[in-house]
Amino acid sequence: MNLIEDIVKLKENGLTLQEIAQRMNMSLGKVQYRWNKYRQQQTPSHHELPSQPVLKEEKWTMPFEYEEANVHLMPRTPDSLYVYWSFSESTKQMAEHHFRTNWEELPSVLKIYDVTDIDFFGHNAHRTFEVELPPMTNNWFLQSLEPGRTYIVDIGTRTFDGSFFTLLRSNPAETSPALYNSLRDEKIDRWKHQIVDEPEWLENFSTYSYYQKIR
Amino acid sequence: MSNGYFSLVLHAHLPYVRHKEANRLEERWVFEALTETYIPLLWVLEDQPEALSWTLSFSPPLLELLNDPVIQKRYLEHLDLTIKLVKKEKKHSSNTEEEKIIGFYEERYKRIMETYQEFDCKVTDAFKRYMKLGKVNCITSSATHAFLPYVQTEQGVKAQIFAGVQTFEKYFGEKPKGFWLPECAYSPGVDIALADAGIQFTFVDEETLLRSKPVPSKGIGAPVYSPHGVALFSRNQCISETIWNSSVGYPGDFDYREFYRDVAYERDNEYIKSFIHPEGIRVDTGLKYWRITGKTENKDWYQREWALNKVQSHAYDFCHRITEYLHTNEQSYPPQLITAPFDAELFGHWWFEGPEFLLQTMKVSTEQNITWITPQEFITKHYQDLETVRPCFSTWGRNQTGEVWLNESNAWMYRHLHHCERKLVQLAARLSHDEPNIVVERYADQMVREWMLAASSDWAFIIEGNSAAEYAKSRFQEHIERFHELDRSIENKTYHPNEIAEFENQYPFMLTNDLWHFFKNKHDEYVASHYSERKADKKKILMLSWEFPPMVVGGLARHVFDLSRKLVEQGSEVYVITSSVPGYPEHEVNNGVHVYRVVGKQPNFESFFHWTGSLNMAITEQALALANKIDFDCIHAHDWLVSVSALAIKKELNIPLITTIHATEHGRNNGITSPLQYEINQKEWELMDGSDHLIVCSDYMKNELTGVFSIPEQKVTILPNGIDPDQITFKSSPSIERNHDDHELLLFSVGRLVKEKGFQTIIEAADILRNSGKHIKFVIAGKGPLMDELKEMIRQKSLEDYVHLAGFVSDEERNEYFAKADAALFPSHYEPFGIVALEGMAAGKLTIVSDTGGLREIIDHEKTGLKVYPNDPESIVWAIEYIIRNRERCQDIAKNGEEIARTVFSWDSIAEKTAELYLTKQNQTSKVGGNV
Repeated sequence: MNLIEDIVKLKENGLTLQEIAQRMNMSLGKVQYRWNKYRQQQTPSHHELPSQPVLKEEKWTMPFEYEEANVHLMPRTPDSLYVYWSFSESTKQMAEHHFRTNWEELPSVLKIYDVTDIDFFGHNAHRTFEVELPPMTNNWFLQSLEPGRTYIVDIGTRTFDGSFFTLLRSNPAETSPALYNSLRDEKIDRWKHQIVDEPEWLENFSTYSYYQKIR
Repeated sequence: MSNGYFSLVLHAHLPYVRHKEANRLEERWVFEALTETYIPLLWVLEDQPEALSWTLSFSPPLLELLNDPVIQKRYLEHLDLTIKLVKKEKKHSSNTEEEKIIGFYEERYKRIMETYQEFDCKVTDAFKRYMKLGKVNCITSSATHAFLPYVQTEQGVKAQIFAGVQTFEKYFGEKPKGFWLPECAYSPGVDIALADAGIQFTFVDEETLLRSKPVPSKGIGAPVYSPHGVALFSRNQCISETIWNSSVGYPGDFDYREFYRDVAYERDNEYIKSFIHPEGIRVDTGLKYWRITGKTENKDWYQREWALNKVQSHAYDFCHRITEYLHTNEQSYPPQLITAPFDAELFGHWWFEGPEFLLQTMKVSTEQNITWITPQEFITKHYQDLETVRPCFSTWGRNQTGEVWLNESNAWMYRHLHHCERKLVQLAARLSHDEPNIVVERYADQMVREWMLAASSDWAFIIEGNSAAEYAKSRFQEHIERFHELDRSIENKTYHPNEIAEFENQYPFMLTNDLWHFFKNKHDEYVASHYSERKADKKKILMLSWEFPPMVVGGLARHVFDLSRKLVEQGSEVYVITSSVPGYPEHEVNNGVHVYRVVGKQPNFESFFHWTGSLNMAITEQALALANKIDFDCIHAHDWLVSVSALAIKKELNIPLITTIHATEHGRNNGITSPLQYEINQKEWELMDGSDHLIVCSDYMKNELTGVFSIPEQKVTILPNGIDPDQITFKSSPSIERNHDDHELLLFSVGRLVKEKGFQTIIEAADILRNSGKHIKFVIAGKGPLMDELKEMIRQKSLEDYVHLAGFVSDEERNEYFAKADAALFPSHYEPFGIVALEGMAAGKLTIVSDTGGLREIIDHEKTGLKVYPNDPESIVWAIEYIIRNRERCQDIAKNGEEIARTVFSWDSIAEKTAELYLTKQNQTSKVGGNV
């Protein structure tokens, strides 16, 4: 019987050396000795390399960001939101192509829209403001917002004459309302009395669909 | 007798810290919590007064840990070791005070061991038994204690909630009625999934109600319903604070046990080394001999009796506060309810005497008739007395906001988590219609587990707080990386039962099947089944054109429509992406052609050039989304307006791009002069350069491409534009009156009113003809920027009776004009092809065109039509006189023209040739090493 094989097997099953010693009716010292010896043998020396190299792919490592066109706006406090984004190669390529300018030279601008109770189509926000982004930025904390409002964020660039050009558009997100903000709420009344089929407020989660744009 | 209710809620949770290898420091969190909290809580249940019940939530990771045989075995071993240490301490001690405390621990550990073994190491079974006795109501939380508002997708939220409920059911044999929202984090929409999972109640923070719309009339004095009908019980901060607040709360009393002093740090290395971590790291043994004593480092011995006395007085004080509060805030109806939720580990682990305090409070409450109620009992009694409000996002963390779980230190985590969620939806969309494969499904389930384990709110919390931050970061990263390793194995088809077994064994968390089903989406399933039925051998063409009927600006729309439906008729699948038209659907199947109408993100962009840029982004987005399911064989683009998207899609999908150049900016303007023209010219050149092949409609255009743009000749194929005679046949009865007496001839022209169409030449010719006494009537149909200028010309020359600008005409009206006219006239200066001329011919009318561009190639002078010099009114006058002189001959010419138009220029033959071209290009591209 090969002792070390049994020890390795038990070890792989998550047992401690002490447990193994008990189970195998051996002293802990003896188990430890065998185990250490085994581990030393496992350290490969050069001449022991297998003749047939095993093709093991390099481990996948967590990237800084993903190469995908994506922007997501998240609730945070009554006066702040958080947004992060990334671009796909094709978005970058299209911007470069449309403006005939290198990606790195295109200004990076964030535009915030207050779209509270609006079916937003790109031009009808209550208010907007723009933030010039430092280079290499892929996320932003939006501060000093108004409580109880719905916002959308665009990540974009500028045209030669200074207009904002949208590259990515976020989901809408809400800042929480102020304390004791209202004693009546028509939206909840309409919902309660089943006057509307769908709630008239933002329900945070996107029903993400992979084939969303295929009908 | 109190006028209200008190409800105690404890939430027990630990992140999933089970590691395959033994002696991980984090595993001790489980041991400590068992020794100090979970087992002592069982003692509370054993002794608590009858007819009193409270609520205890077990998070699914904790349930999994407590029921894990390896953890159970290791805990027994840990207890053995501690008991061994107690014995050694007893032998070693020479101080009577110390011996007394050691004696206390000796007793205590004996009892812990007994309790643990009494239930066969299954602590949850013990709680289950007390639940059956009605002493406690157990509930659960989300699968891995994810901070639900920061989950991105509805599917992700569902998975977290439903898998949590399933896990609870596995250990308790019934579904929970209540649910602990991790970190009391609520956001609108969470309640939909909770309600779907059969949850009746959950817990939120005070501010959640106070920021609701409307603010409930009882404030926090009663629970409320969320919009989707889940009862929300709000934490009473004022009452809770007396316990958890570190400066004013009870646990800081000087007589209570000091948490931070442990014998592990007080003994010699040699003495203690076999009782601490094998690598010599000093970790708490659980033997703590000191009391808090005061704000001093010199601690006194822990006196158990003193501590128990304090427990007694604190319990009285707490009950007094409850009574006071209920009295001061008396309300009806329902009566005032105090809900006091806490982390369970506060009692015992952080506050050693906490469980004794709870038991004592229960006893005093019974004495003083304070009514304890569980949320479940409360709902049964008062379900009709609750208001419905609309609560917003909030938590029980700092400032009641999300800032603890989302700040500069941990915000980076969410893009990874959300990426995983979307990947899972994508995977589920594919798996739900693929051939079932058990191994792949195991991979998918494991990917769900890895995402869940990474999504635990603990990691963001720990990273924010900086203690054990390295562990939290590495665990998070590990699960994200494992997720992608699994994904890659599926992608590369290298999946293997051995590999997946290894992954499952590493973290044997929630090893139930079908977790990936939570990520399905009805629409995706529909698409998956619907689109797989299509014939695989059909060519799939992605057609890009900024205009498509009903949006008709020039001839392009009609051309793309006719070509597309002919291609479909001949057996291809065609997907047209074009700009949206108000009132028209985003998707329709028109004559078998799939039409997707998209809108840019800035549809009112003032600059037309940037408007097209914005449109192109939308076109590409749509095209790449379609490509998720449809394997396109090639792209067919039309004109510069789709240049940006055409090239981006080609690069992304790596398929041939064939472009039809209908006209060029250079040709339209007879050169490039303005900056905008220059930009357009660039786009045209880039598109021509980036396309695999080009189609033009005439020799004339081919010359322009090879000449002006230096495009190699072999890259250009001439395919004329086609017409569909049916489209120009006049069917209904006449509505346009025609009086033969008032003029000799009626000539009809149609086209966009732009300079290059040469309509001004008609007016000049009409002037000459009128002056020579002939009554010839010209009708010009169409609209465009030149409208006002042409009107003005007619007015100045007083030609109102001779030249009529008909404005926009419908197809029907156009056909009627063709039918009534004696001839059709197209005097363009620049015309790459001239589809209208073909229409005139096909309508059986004598057609007069300028001897220029594509028009020149369509018509054989005096055989199939007449040619005039462009920009030369005298030449038009000549043609009129020719008609008057040769009426009969002209009829023959018209007949010949009709014959040619209906055969040579039929869409049947053109579409066939186009399809052949697709095939050639596809074969060529694939021959070049797959064109990777």
